[in-house]
Amino acid sequence: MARYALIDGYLDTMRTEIHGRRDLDDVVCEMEDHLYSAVEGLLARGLEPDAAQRTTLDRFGEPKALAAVYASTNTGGIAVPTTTTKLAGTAAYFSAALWIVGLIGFWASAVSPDRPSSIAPDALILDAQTITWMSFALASLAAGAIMLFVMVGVNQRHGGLGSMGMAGLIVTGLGVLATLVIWAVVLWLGIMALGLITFAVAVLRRGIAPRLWTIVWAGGPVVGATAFLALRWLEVGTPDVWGDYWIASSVGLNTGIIIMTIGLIGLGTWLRSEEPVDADTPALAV
Amino acid sequence: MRGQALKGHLDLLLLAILADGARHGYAIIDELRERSDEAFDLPEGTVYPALHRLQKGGFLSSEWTEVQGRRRRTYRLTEQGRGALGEQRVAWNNFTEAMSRVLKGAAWPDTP
Repeated sequence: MARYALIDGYLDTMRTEIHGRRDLDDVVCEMEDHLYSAVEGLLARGLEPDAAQRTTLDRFGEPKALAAVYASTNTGGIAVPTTTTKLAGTAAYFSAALWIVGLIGFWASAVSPDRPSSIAPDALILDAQTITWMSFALASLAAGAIMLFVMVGVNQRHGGLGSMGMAGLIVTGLGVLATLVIWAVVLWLGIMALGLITFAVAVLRRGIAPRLWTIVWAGGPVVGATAFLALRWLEVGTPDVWGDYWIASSVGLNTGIIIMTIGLIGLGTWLRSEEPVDADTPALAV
Repeated sequence: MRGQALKGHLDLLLLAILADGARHGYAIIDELRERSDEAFDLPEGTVYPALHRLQKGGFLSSEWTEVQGRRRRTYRLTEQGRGALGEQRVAWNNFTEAMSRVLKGAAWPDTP
């Protein structure tokens, strides 16, 4: 059997790019069969060997991009829009709205007349300050829980996102749980940032969801947590009675949540725009 | 149609092509290109991860043979894959027919 240097070089590169797979030899064998079949087909049509190899490799795909697709494709499922993925799109709107409700609670607590100027023994009684703070916490917890359902929908829309997608989902879930200690903004925002970025990388590798909205959504908490840490490190503003730097908390929280909700709405719109394949025939307006 | 738009429907297309019989990867991609009059254009290598995922999900099975001194993997639709294709094909046909009816519209009667 004739060997083709460009094809063999490409196969060596791919072997390096997707190393670590248990089925590496099978995957490379399959690629070899495809590439050699394609070259032979083009040679039979009269192309020169060099041109036939280059055309074949152009059609097959760039090694790094292809390796990313392999890395993110290791679960079983059909990547199609379903009623669940469409419902997840609607849920994204609810989640975004609840995140904003949480922010309103945060700001209401900031301007509350009960906001203490010093820690008093009765600081935890059910006053306006406590109620607004609790509404911030509960709204954020609910928004986060619904956002996890959105992520399940995005995962299903891709036919599964593999272990990376699952890891992102679990870490984000931990971040949502951490909103129970809502005052530790950098803690839950930071965990959420880590989870969403991991999940988003798995999504971006598959190339199905809109790239812009995925990046905006996952980037929100990253921007927020980074802004918080930067302002805290620079000691901008003065600490309040609990030793918290209010400016760092409010800037980090607001930028993080607002950017994330914009991305959520974008992703939700995309999920809702696709007709589910498991739905009944859409009704016609008559 | 570029890869971005096609990727969302690739699984259904692969199941549909394999419904006509077992094929190896290169033949599947060739058939995809031919049936779409070369309208579907995506990096050919991206089809393999989709085939592997469908196999892992139980929608396809595969077997290895040796052809011209090379190992070749051939894919075949399983009963589960045939069932999934049947359901989704009906849903898709219903949807596209409804869309066509709406898009074509009805001629507005002439006023006397």
